Amino acid sequence: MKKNIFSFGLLFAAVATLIFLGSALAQDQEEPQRLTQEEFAVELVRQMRMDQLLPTAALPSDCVELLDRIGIAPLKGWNHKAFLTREEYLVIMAKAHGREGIVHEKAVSVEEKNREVINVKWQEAQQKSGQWLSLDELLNNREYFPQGAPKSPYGVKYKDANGDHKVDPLFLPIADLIKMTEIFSSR
Amino acid sequence: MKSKRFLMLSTAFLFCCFVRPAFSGPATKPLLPIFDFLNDIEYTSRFKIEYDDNIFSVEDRQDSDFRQVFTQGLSYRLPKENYYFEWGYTGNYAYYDQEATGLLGHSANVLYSYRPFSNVSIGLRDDYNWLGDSKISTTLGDRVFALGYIQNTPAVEVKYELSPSYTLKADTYYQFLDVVDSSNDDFIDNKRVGISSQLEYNFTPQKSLVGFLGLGYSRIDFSQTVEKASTTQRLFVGVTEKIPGLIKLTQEIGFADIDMEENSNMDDANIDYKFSAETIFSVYTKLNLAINLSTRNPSLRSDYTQYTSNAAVLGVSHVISPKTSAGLSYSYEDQDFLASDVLIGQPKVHKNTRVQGLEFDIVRKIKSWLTLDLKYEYTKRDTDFEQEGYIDNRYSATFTVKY
Repeated sequence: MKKNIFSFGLLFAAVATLIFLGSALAQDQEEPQRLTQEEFAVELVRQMRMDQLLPTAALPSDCVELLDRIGIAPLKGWNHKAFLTREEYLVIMAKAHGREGIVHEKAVSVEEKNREVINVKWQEAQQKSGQWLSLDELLNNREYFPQGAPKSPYGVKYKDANGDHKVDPLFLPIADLIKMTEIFSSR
Repeated sequence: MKSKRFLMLSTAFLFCCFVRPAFSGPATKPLLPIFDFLNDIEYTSRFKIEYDDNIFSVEDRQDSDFRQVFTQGLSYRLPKENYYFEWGYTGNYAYYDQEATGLLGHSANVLYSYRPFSNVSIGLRDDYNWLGDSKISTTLGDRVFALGYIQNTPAVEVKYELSPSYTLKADTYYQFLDVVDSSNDDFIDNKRVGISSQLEYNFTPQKSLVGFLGLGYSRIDFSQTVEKASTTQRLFVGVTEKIPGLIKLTQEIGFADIDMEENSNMDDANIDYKFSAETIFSVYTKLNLAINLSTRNPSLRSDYTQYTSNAAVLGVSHVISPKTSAGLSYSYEDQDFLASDVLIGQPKVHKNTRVQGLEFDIVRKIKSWLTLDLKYEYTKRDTDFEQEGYIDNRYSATFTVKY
């Protein structure tokens, strides 16, 4: 009888351990919860103690509006219901910490690098085939861009409006304005 | 004996659990909620010294004076997962040197916002202002008074996001204005009530183009006179356009139908236009422009029912360094008092008032708890109303302590 009780006890302990370990493993493998951009905006407004600047009845979209109005936004602007990406998170946090100058500096250098890479590949394609591909054909060609075409950090579509087979330099008023305001600052 | 021991032990227990932690270091969380509550209140003290070259806002600009204002403020904020609560109070005492006059003022506000679901929000707020009776001037609407007043404005707002594209908004308010001096308040004391609803449509997921359409109803009743009461119904339509990370533009057109309670006063139909632009490219720099054209407002004068306002505000603010910021703003308002809006028995004359204001300030954070604000304010009022035009220059320095 005592042996039976001991065996049952052992079995119970083993099953309990398995359940505990199983649930712990399942928790480890669970995907981290993803936040939409407006859910993240709600948290950020609360952390920055800016709730008093919201309208009387505030929805998550009002938090986005508030952050946008004070200049805190991803480079492509807020997309309320879309999931927040790592890049967008970094941009938002950098801006919230007042480092908007660095963010735009980096983004502009990425834009320049993208243009340079596309122009080189375009030239290569012409030399190889003896004729010019259109810019869209080039960007969608897996031979030249196996990982997909370079994407603009500002979400701008690359164009060649003057037909010189070089990507047009981008007019980025935001980056220029940031440069201008920094002249009057000592940050 | 047993009861004495129980009393001693329970006192010691209560002391250990509730009172002692409240006086210990900051790491210990007091169990008695009142201490938590007191810790969460933000206290602000402000001392302002101001030189005013036209203290009574009169045409001849005879009296200049130094004014010292001491303001004490309390505020409490409770931000939670699905609700937000806030209350605040400021009391100030202003003393005028030459006049040897003291002026007392109080203002308080309370706000409760509750979000039962992620797409529904309900908010209640109340703003209360009390200014002691005095001969020092205050601007309210189309008039410059040298009177104390009580103003209370409770409001309710509800928002419901029907879908990512549609949002419904409804709000209502009640405003009560009572001038303390009962011999001078016949055409001023009033009660306003308003209700409006608005439907927004987002054309893009980024909400970079939002259209809105709404209907508002408002009513004003003057406590001492029935002849100026009116009801306004206003249909409005507008659009908000945003260039991400650069600028936000809003335009609105309103079609108002104004019904005067007294049959002898003329009813009115009016079209107003609003435009605003603000930059959103930087945390440090902001430019904004707001233009309101042809807005009809109830007049607080004894001879007019309403007036037309055309106003514009242009402002720029910039953070020069992490501790210093500067702001400059200019405002202009043209107030038209039409002959058709004259009350019965008054001469049918068209009058006009133009008000210009310029403001410049520099704010410097000296310590984390101490801020200095240097400000210059200029006001010029040109008007056809006798003895009401003036020029006023104010220079002030304000120290604010937060603790």
